[in-house]
Amino acid sequence: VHEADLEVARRCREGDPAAFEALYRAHAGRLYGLVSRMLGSAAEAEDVLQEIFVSAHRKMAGFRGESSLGTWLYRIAINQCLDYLRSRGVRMSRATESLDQEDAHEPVSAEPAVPVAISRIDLERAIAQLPEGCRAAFVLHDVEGLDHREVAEALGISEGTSKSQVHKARHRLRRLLGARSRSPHAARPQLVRAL
Amino acid sequence: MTCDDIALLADEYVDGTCDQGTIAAIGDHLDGCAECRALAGDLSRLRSAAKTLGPIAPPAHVWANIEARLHGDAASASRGGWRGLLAAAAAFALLAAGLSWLGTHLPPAASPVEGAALAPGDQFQLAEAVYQSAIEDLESITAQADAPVLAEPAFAALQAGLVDLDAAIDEARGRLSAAPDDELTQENLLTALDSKVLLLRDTVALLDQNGAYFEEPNP
Repeated sequence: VHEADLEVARRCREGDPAAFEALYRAHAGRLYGLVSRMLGSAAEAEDVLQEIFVSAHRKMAGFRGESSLGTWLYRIAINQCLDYLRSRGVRMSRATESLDQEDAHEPVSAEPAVPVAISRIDLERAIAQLPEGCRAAFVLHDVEGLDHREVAEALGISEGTSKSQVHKARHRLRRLLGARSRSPHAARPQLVRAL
Repeated sequence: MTCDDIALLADEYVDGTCDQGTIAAIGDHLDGCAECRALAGDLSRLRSAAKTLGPIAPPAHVWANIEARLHGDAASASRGGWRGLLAAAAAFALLAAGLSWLGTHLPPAASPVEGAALAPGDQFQLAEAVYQSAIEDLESITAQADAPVLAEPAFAALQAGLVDLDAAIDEARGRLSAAPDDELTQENLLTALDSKVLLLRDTVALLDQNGAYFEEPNP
């Protein structure tokens, strides 16, 4: 049992505004990163982040300390993201045949397509361009570090579909980042580097 | 090991989930194949870069909005949690009963205290039942209004809102029929019912301001 988190939850339930604000400050950055990448939109992520914390405040009585508050908030965040995506008509298991066709036509080259130092901004933009289903799987697996079983459970898909979606996302990103590195703008200073 | 094999196994290779024998076989192929080496290198760099993407600070107004909504919640009878939802459901019926002509139509509202000792699943069912009862009572009143009146602009927006809420309620109930214990969907359903009661109450209040559209209740 996470005693310290239970104490924070108790203070939040009793209406201590400082406790809830501290909880927000501690976790909002990670959750906003998760949500904005899963949705591919910063503006929509702001709305969903609000819903996550308002929902968490209302559900605080249900927090039993069996996991940390961070894990508990993370689950709420993923559920809110999925609800939001479903409301947009997105199905996580939706086939992505168009990407299969792109894979088939992927140019074979002996030269690396992805630059050694990937600009973080370029990578974030490329992730935002992925189709929703494979973007969610990619974010949870490659960015958040969940394994395929956990991704499958979170998204309500099979492990095989999770692997397939991550595979398609990586190949699409390879193409996007490769095209970007070959474009004339690629010569600009790389202000933010991920490596 | 062929290039087609590498295309299939490259993800597991860069994830480090292949067995030692497969890793060795892939390594042998990569030593002699520049194209596959480029693919594996790209995927590996991509994976490493993705791992470094960290938190993103949300804009300051997000917390301000959350704070405002929480204050709003506190001001509206502390409607967070099961007891709060029950209290809200009961309060709606009591508010509706305040309308002069409604007193003889509504059954007594359920007491929120009734739900206090119940298990969460039972509390959800009780809350849903109380909301549903309030909705049916309010709908029985709006049904008395003349159809042309409800078609007037003042009511059209309310009616459109009710249609949207009914769709949300149907969707939540559909999901609950597959996963009855899904707390998030339970909350979504209660929130939609909550909103529907509010909207119906507004409709009734608007109609009540124009008592001529109703039959006088029997004494």
